[in-house]
Amino acid sequence: MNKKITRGRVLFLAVAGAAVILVPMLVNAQRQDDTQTLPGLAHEVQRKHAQSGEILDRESVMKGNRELQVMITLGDQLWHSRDLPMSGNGQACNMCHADGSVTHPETYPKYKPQIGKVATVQEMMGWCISIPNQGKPFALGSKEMNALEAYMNWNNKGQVMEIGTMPQ
Amino acid sequence: MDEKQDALDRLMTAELSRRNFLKMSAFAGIAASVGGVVTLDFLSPSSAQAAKPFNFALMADHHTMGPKNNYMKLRCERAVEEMNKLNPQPDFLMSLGDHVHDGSDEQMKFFDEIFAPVKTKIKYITGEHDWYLDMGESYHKHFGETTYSWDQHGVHFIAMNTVHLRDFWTARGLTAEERMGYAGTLNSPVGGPFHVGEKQLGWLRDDLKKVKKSTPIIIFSHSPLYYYYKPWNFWTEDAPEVHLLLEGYEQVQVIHGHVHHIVKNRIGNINFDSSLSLGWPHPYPTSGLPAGSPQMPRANPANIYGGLGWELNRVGEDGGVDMRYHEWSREKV
Ligand code: HEC
Ligand SMILES: [Fe+2]
Ligand SMILES: [Fe+2]
Repeated sequence: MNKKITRGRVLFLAVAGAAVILVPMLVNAQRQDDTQTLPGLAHEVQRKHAQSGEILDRESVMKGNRELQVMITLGDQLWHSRDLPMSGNGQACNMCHADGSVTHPETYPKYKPQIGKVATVQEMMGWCISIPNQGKPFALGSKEMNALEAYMNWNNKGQVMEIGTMPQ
Repeated sequence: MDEKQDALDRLMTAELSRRNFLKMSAFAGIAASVGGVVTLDFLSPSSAQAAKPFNFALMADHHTMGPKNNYMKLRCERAVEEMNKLNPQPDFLMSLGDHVHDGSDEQMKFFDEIFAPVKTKIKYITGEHDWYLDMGESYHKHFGETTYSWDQHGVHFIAMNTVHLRDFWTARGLTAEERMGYAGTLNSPVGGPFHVGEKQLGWLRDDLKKVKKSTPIIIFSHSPLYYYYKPWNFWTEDAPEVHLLLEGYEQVQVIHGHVHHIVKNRIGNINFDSSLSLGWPHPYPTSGLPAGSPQMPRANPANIYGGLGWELNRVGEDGGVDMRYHEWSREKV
């Protein structure tokens, strides 16, 4: 391997490492007297986009969190539903995917042989409603589909984004 | 994978039985050359009493739901058809529980009709799905007892109800359907863990008094008789008490259902093996598998037989069980 590139990489890693350690320290210090900041969220914003942790529209952030909670709860109910439209044969998503397991939303979109194309996770959920569950899938982007996705992703929090097929 | 490591891994797995002794001694040489600290104590032949080799069949977790789910019916019919073709017939079929999904008399009638053509004798134990609608009333009517033992070909067989739950329904004022719903939802925290229970532990203690330490023992339970994964109730809270009662027996095999996938374990002198399901495959828990357990691949739900099947097991001369999985995903439909 080219030595120059290797040295360049080491330097880059060192700077990046220092930034990872120092930036949150600075942010935390600043946050002490910033009453408009939601700590967890602001930290995320800071880490990913290096923007200020200040939140201009605190109300809509709070509302967003509440609305999401409502959707996760609805998704939880649908995930356990054994009746139409979710299921025509008494099977529920929860039977084969307890706690949203092995749904791998972090790998989408990806090619699914069952669908025969690169599919979004909602399309795959729809497939699972029609085929194993013999139900009637909701429209993509409908409240119910979004709720299912919210519940599934909430259960898969912390997974690393890894687009593409992975061995199961 | 590194061949030596592979051989070593196989040596360390729980699957060893005395019948494999000669086969495995070839690997012992390889293991010694790997140079790790390997104790080979468990390879020393036990003096377990000789049994007459024979076959028995296993089916589990059918979860039939009556006419509303035709897939469940098709899979049971396929298993019955395959088993009936065998010549000679297995000595018996053990049906490991969760025969039906919602515990009702109607669903059990439906189940009985599918299994009526079976040529060999059927024995049953209960799963939680057979029990919590009417606390065993329909189970007893259709399948008989849940706690019993018998001797056959030199082996002592034990069947138990391992799905007792603490009363979570009375104080909450739940209906029978609600009780069934909570007990039958794998990851619901409401039902709590399964128990063998004091009464049955007493029964087991008495039953084992008549059994010599050299007699091979095969136990059938619905839930795994060990601690596998609590959040999904792959768990029997008082299993350690059962292990204590079995101490000193030379050949003990527990066969369980409930987990809907292949998993093996060995704790002390006891081997544990699961049965495949006829209903649907559960994924493996995030906690992983017991050391040395094989792992089956994830099924494709487009194939209604994927990841499912039944077993025709061979009991050897030492009373050890050779689990022979008949996993349908590996066959062309
Ligand atoms: C009978 C069992 C079963 C039921 C019921 C079921 N699934 Fe699946 N599902 C599977 C299996 C097995 C796979 C893995 C196959 C694959 O990904 O190709 C899978 C795959 C998936 C995937 C994709 C996983 C990946 O890695 O790509 C998603 C998303 C999914 N299911 C969602 C659902 C939802 C939502 C429901 C309820 C409507 C549901 N499933 C019901 C068995 C089931
Ligand atoms: Fe089951
Ligand atoms: Fe079960």
